[in-house]
Amino acid sequence: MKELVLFGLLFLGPAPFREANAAGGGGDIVNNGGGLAESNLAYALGHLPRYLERAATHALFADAELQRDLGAIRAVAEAEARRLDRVRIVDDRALFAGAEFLLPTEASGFTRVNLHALYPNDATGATRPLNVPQALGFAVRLWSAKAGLASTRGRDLSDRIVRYASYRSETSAFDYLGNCSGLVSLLSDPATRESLGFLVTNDKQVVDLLPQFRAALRCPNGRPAESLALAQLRTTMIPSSHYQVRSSQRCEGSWRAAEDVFFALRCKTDRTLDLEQLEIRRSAR
Amino acid sequence: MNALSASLLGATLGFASIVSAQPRFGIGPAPVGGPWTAAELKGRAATTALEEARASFEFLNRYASQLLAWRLDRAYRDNFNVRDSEIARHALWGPWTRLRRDLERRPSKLVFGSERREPGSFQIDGQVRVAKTGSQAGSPIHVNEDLIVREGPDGQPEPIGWLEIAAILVHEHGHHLEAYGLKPTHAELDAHGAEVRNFLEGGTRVYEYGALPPEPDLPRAQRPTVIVTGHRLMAPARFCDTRLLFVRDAEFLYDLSKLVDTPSNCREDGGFDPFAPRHFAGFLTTLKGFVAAGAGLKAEINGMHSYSPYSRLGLNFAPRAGGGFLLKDVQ
Ligand SMILES: [Zn+2]
Repeated sequence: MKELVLFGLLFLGPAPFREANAAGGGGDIVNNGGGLAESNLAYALGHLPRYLERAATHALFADAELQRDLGAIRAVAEAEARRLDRVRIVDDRALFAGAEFLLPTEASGFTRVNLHALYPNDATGATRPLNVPQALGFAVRLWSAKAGLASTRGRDLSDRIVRYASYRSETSAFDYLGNCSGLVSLLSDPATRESLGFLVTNDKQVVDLLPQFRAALRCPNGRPAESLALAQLRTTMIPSSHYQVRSSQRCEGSWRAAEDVFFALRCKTDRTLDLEQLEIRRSAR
Repeated sequence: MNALSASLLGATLGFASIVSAQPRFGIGPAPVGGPWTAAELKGRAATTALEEARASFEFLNRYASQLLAWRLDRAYRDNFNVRDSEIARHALWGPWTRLRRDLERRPSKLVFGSERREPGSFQIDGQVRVAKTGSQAGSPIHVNEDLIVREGPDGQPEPIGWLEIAAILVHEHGHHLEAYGLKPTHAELDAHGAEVRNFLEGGTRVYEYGALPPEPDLPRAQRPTVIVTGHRLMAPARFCDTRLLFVRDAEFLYDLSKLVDTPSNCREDGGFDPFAPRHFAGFLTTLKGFVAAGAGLKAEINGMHSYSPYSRLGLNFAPRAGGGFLLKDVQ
């Protein structure tokens, strides 16, 4: 599972309520079963606003229309993350008639999620509980419907979020002796290992520094690399304001041997992490 | 006895236990000893995804009490400087605190089963569950092996995520609160699980060795991985240091938490105690990732404490004949 480390503390309201609770029983009778997909959905609904915030900086969502849709879903997701007790997971196939969820018809009503949509069957007929990226995608479809987006648009965004959440990630905390703090996350394509984002956050903002790495790490012919693969992110000292990362560039169709790259971040006088000043240095010249 | 007096009694007992727990304080030694060879560190077999999933469950279950404590931290933080609310907090925490104490004495047993092998064994209300348990502290937790391994992005089986396992364990242990008169719903326990997961996530670093092109990529099962969980409260002077350190190589999963066991207001038994004297400021969350060291790999975990010098744990990996790397030693 990809574990994107989210910075900051999220408000988590009450969980989606499962209407049909297992019959009670005491003593040692074993009767309390947990559901993986419900657990993942509870997490996804609480975390979606943060994922959307980060995803917004990514090339997958660069298009203006996608940005607008993302903003609309984010507004709903943020409001809904504070009232998760209004979401109920319901086991009633007839009620849903194949739909994944039913939105409330009046403001005070419950959003009902079809339990069976959280446990789709695969080609062999086996049940596959939603994993975290899929649960985030489900949450996007849910709140995009609530935001009034066409279902095709919701599904497109949902697919993109699933991809985004499935990236390989490496993260490292920035903490300059408690003076300012932040988080550096490197996202790469799980198949090709190409870097897809280099996100740096302070408490207020997220920026993608990948374009700056591209600009700093040119091919020997002076042209920008066709793609960049960064990995093995690590701090080089404590306090962790200085970092080292291995970098490989694809130039003229082939990958060059990896090299070490150093970069440094700074604290501003207001004790927030400076997201504009970045120093990148190649080890060998 | 009415519910209020019962919860106040629980609160009183909870408080008494915290006071008598004698948290460690004073200036402690740096957490580094060793060196240790991989054999001394006693890894658990984790060659297959199922073995790895089982070992992860077993390791995390050792810290179940701590996982439940982390659930409490948010309530603590919300009341950060409000001494008057301490009684209210104890009332709120009573049953959870008692459950944690029970778990410290007697951890829940994990029993691995399979719905596929024994149809009906994990069915509740017609649904196949990932885990189930009874309602007493110490009731065994039955884990459905069919659902703790899934297909990864490369089409190979992989264990479910570390944080997902933590959430499941919180959920299942939450059912044991019934012994103390609380009966949370499944949904409430999913919320607690999500909260603990959120909390863990904020302090967890997962480092997986990433080979760069043109070097061939390693399959997931062979990528050395280091998971460090540190966790810090908001105010700089009140820390609960890193408590968990798991390392995975191509064949084994290791629980190296003992090696980064630093003095702090984390209790000796592994539980987080917000009422312990907070004389320590320190953290141990910096991981230098993987660096090529000769033909092998090295990862470094660095710590800094207010009263002890900078300390460091180096993990050395050697190449393995069948591909990937094996942990060689830790120094
Ligand atoms: Zn349950």
